[in-house]
Amino acid sequence: MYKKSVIIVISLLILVSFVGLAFRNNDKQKVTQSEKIAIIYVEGVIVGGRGQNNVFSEQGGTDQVIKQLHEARDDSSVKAVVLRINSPGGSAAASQEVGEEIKKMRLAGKVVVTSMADVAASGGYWLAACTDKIYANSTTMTGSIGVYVPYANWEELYKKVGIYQEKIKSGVHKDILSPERPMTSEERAIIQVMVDDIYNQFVAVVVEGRKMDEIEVRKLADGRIFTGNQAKQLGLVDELGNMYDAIDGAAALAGISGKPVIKEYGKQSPWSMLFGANGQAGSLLEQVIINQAKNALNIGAPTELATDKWQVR
Amino acid sequence: MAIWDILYDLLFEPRNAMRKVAEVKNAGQAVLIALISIFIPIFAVSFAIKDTSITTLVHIMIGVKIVASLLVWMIGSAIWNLIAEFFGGKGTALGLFAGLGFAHFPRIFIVPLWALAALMPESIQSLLMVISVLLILCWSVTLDVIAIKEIHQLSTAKAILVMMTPLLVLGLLCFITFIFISSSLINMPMWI
Repeated sequence: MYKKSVIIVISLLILVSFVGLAFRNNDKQKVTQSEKIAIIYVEGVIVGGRGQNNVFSEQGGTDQVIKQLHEARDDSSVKAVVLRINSPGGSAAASQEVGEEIKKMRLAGKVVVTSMADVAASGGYWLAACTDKIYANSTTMTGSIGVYVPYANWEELYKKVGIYQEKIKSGVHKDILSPERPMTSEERAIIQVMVDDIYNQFVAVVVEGRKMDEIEVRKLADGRIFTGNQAKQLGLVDELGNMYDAIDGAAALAGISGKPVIKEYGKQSPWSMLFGANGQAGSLLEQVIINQAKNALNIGAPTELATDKWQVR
Repeated sequence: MAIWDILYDLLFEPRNAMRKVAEVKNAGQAVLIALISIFIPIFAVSFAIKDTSITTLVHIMIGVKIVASLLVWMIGSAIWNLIAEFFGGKGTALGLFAGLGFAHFPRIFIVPLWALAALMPESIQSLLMVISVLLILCWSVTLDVIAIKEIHQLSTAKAILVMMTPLLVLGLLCFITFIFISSSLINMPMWI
């Protein structure tokens, strides 16, 4: 009888706990119907494509950011989005793709506010310029409004190690930016036209997004970086503050009263979920260096390193 | 034999419980307890982590957990029974099946432990959940070892060895496979 009583008490305890966990989830679901602010992260070098994704995490690739923007746009309970940018820039095309999605989201009636972290430069600033309001820390590194196509001439190194590389090409400019020979003046002119084209598009984005005079923007758009403080004085940034200031600003713009409910987008790894660890390894500088080595930072055609065409003489 | 007698003994006198299971071989009750102990904690876990962004991972975890638990229990009973007989065990496969089924019972305590963790501050919730899972896992493994020990009348050391043998064999197979693969790569023909 005693044993039966103990087991019954344990069973009741388990049943109450089970119901409690279920209702806790229901309460959270009720809260989730209320007005929300979505936080979408743009971290690291901005590159297009899917990046590396598995069940446990996602890394890189603006396709994910665009997907998250779509999800936030389709979620009627999300009234505002805070774009948390911590990026030194990246591909112009990828930045443009995300920028266009931000504009579509704003046209759909959602407020989009930027919160700049350590760095929001170049492509990072492209995205910020497409948003309703920009918050930066006073020591944030931003600006770098400009475009470059990296090129390296490895001709002398190849000679030193005895590598002779040759391309049999269909057109005279097919191997433009090729590292095994100097760039011709005609090729330089072609690339310069491309760079100028992309640069003009970048300036247009800043002019439209920041509602600034084009002449004023071009004066600032010589590629230099600014601190958050300087950027505010120059009109490139609206307010100085951290992410939570941006959240409060987004709530105010969206007309959300009281403390806003936050919804973060993006997969969390089980490790970071369990222990709150930040899986981001390496500094942004390391990522920039690594991605430069992989030719992932260029805006024009990448320099080609086809090792199977090397011929040792 | 009343199920609450076994459950009580399982919690407070596990050796007595497993001896009774060895005598009675109440597989039906074991199946009931095992299924309850597998499914209820899974639902509790899914409630607890459903509102995170890893919904895909939740579904996969639930599926893997159910299949893995049932497979390990059923196939494991057969394999461990065979190994126990090699070590001189005197029990039966049905007895071990029942014992390992009952050994699932502590997993149900995940539910109140996670409910308790949910009441704690958010900063330590995840840590408490992980600790409770580890504790329950240790408890379950201990009961598995006791089941093998009492049902096959082996010493504790032999019971642990019976439990570990499949893992050791798997490890040895992986090691041998690795050596073969490495050797074959080293000996690939060189073109002169």
